[in-house]
Amino acid sequence: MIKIENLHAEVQGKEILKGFDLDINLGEVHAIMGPNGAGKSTLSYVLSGREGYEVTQGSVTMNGVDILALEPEERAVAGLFLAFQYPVEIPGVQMTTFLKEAVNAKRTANGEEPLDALGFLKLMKGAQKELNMSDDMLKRAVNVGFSGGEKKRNEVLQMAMLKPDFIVMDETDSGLDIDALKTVSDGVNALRDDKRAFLVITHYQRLLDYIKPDVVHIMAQGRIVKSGDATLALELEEKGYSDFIGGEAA
Amino acid sequence: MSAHAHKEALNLAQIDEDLFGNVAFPSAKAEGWQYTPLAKRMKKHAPTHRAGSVLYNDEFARYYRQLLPEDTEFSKVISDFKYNQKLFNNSNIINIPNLDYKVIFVCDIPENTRDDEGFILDYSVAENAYFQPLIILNVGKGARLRLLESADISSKGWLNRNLCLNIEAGAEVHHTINGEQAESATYTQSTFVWLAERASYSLNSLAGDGRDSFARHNLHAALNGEEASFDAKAVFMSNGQTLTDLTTQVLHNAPNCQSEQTVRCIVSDKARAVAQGKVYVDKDAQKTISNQQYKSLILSELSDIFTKPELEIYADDVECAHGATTGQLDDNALFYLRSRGISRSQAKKMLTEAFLRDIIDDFADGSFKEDAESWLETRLNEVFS
Repeated sequence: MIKIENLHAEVQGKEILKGFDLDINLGEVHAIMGPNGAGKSTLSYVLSGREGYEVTQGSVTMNGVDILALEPEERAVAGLFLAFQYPVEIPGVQMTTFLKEAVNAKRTANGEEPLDALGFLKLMKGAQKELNMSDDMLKRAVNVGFSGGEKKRNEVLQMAMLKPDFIVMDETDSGLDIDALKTVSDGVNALRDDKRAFLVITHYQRLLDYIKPDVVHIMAQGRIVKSGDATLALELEEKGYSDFIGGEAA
Repeated sequence: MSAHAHKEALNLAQIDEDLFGNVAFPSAKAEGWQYTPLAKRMKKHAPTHRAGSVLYNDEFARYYRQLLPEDTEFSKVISDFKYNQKLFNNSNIINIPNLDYKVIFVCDIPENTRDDEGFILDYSVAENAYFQPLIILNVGKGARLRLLESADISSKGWLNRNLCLNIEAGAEVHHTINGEQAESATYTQSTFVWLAERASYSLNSLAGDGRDSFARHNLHAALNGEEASFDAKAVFMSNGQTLTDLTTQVLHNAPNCQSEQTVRCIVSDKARAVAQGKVYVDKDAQKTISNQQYKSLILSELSDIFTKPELEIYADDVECAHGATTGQLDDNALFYLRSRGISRSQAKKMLTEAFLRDIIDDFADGSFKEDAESWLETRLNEVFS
């Protein structure tokens, strides 16, 4: 469903991704682990189309579509979702306005009728309940005054409402305590099915106790250096990165 | 809207006059006019004749006492309100000696009147024409007045509206201004506010409509009595080659007064916004609280923002603050919205609206808030079309 081939990308003229390859099938959860500076966040921004991240070589297709040719919003309505490491605070934009715009942008792009106020409220309430989010949070501006845990729960709420096909999670565990980690993971696990795929980027094995991956990759120097099953993460936790990447770890 | 239904019109016959050859408009060399080239503008868009009207509702008519003879001199009327030439001594006032005031309203609002329906003044100016009304309102002790002004200026028309508000002890005035201007319209406004003890004045103002329109508002307030308060909130959103300007002068002449000025400017295309103003605190005006905040958003490379807040303080026990910031839309926020499927232009609209959200939510007048919302929607569609 996702096919990344020989991906090279630069940020401000500096090459960060250096021949990155990855195949993810529907229903699979892949984890990418790697030391600081391996290019993990760059990968997530390149996939989602952020300005300033220039692809110099290679290709990325999602369901056969060349997504590198698409604007960020076009990638989103095509089914890609990036859960941000640092969700952005947007003062003055209400959560409900934001969510409704996003849901209806996707519906309109897919030829569906936009939801009216009632239909939207129903969708939101359903997702909100599952994630144990308070009404108060939804009355605030986007991520403004949210704790670290609330911000990440908000990312999962958006996932649940937008129902993307391919979800990239960029260090979703950073800044979370154990309880919040569990809530967020439960939310993610509830979305796991054979209709979508996940790419979970993380520093630590801990997250993978909650979100069990099908495949684990180790990334260093802008590409994948080793892949294996879930036990690879445990092995990595024990030995550290240097055993796998030959002293390249930062 | 019942007030609108009872509007009466005061129409002026169209008079062809060649007046503009000798008019001395303030030049760009005058302080206060550096960024707002009125003289150049009037050269380019000189009106050819006078043709305009003021529509007013029956609330206005009830208190409207007299239509002064056409030859009434401006300075004579003003002197009744203890107009202090020395304090207002600057070049901001558009003083055009060759153009007399052909329409003068003088109204006395009786003491303790609580008028919530509001005075409505709708000005309209025909194409290529000019119109110069003078409105003088004396708001009696303890009275409360809502004053709702709007202007419909046709292409290349010029409205020079002058408003004097004398607000007596304990009286309050809530003033709203909504300009609907055609392309190439010019709107100059001078507002003079005198506040006695415990008197209050609040302004909610919207401007920036019409491509290549030109709007300058001189707002002068003198807080002459103790515990008087002044609160001005203005929102400008313009595109094309439109110029919007709010130039204020707030004089704290008595102790324990408060003044607040909040201005938001948004410019796109080749538009320009000017927000400048001085707060003067007299040596007797102890315990003054004054705040002046300008925030601006630039949406294009070729648009300009000029902001200049100034303070001149002679009292030693005051709390005065001022600040001006100018920035662009936040790239991180823009990307966040787009990554959720929201188009670039819709995301920009949302963030621009967010920039104005707090000031519009703070507008004092509930029904004007609704006007502001629909104005905002129209302006956003125009700016991001």
